[in-house]
Amino acid sequence: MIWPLELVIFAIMIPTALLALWLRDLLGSVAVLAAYSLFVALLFAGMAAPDVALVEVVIGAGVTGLLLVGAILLTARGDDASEGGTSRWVPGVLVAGFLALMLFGSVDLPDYADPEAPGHQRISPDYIEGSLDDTETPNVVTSVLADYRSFDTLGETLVIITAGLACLVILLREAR
Amino acid sequence: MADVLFDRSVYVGVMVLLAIGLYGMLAKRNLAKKLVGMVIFQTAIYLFFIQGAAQMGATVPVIEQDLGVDADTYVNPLPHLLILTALVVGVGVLGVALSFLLRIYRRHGTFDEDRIAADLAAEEIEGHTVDDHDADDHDDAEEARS
Amino acid sequence: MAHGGAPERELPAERGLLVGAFPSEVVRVIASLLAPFVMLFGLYVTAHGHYGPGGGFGGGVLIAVGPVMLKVAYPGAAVARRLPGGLVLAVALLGFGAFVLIGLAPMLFGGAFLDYAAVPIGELAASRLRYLGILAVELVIGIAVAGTILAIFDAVTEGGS
Repeated sequence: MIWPLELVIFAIMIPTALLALWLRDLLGSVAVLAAYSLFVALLFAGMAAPDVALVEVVIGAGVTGLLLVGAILLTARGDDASEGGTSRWVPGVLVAGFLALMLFGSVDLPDYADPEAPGHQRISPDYIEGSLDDTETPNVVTSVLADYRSFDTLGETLVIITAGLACLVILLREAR
Repeated sequence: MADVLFDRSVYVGVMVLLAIGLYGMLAKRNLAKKLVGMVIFQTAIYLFFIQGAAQMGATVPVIEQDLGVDADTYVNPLPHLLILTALVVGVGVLGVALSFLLRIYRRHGTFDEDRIAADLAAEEIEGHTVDDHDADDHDDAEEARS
Repeated sequence: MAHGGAPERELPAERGLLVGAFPSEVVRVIASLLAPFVMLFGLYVTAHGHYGPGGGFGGGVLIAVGPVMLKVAYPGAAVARRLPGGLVLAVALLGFGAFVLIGLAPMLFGGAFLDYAAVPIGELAASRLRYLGILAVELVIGIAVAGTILAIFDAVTEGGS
């Protein structure tokens, strides 16, 4: 939680995201996207979430890039889609409206890193104070993931296995 | 004044990233570029959750004997684990999306929305049905004959 | 565009992961040297979730990255044939089944679903039982996640050709 550091990372991330969308070479776009994910992971580490930062580095900068590169090498590398016409300004207006709505909605949110924010008051203090006594596990994220809220984790595991099954069914059905 | 600016700047950054991702999904005509926009949108949502977990003067949620077990010493662990699972589910979403993309490419030979639409329209005029299942059966019959 | 639609095109043979000199000698050597250590690190991350950042999700992805690296560096080699998508996904499903069984075990002893402390093993305290239960669940999640990521990669890169 070092303010200037987070601002600097945001200042790098926003042009990186724009570059990833702007580049015509899809492989270059994916490479820039991996760099963007690395900056997101740095930001997670700066916000005291090392678990999420580790997984974001492996998945965002690693597996996501590999999957996209694998698919792009199998198909077309260049983005030869036509630009212009109504497709440029209609989404622009829609997205500007969306951004204004989101900024207006964020006005009532608690300040960043406010210790008195309502989200920190209800159940998470119980998790933090009970983790060592209940489970002998110092890492609270792990004890909540695999013990206090393990039913949620069971469901998430089923979700990703279903996604893997869907991939195989979609692609292998006709490749018999 | 500077404090107010800092307090809100993280929200502004996250919302701008959300808008960039949404613009990519809406305006880009290349389907792979739409996926890049989707990934940017996803990461912006992850960022929104993780910044909500941060607390001033608190540290990583791994309990240290010297610091005690006071809840104010550690950041809120709940959003962390929600995003931990969401990240892995994100890979599943990307995988399914890429599978659809590959099938679309195999059938139409392009990622360009306009050309795919033109291709589909041409099929309708030729009397082919656009329905995926029927088209597949048709393919199978052709393969069997050849 | 001239292509009229219904019959699906054959992809050009030179497409895929073997584009030109894409997996260069440097990539091959580094990948084959690094892959076992990445998998070992994944195992460490999976089992070390109690004390530091990590756990089943991060560790499982790292375990999957090892074979994925080899598949990228050596397309069409033995790695790809020995780990087909269906088999890997079956392993992932076994992991999920083990998760459900771990959840059901406490119910045999009158506890709630996934309440590890209800299983009486020796003289262990309830907190120690939960500690072991978390370890078992993290390992099982690691297997499920690794299998799924491998299956998705397999489908997207091999099934697409």
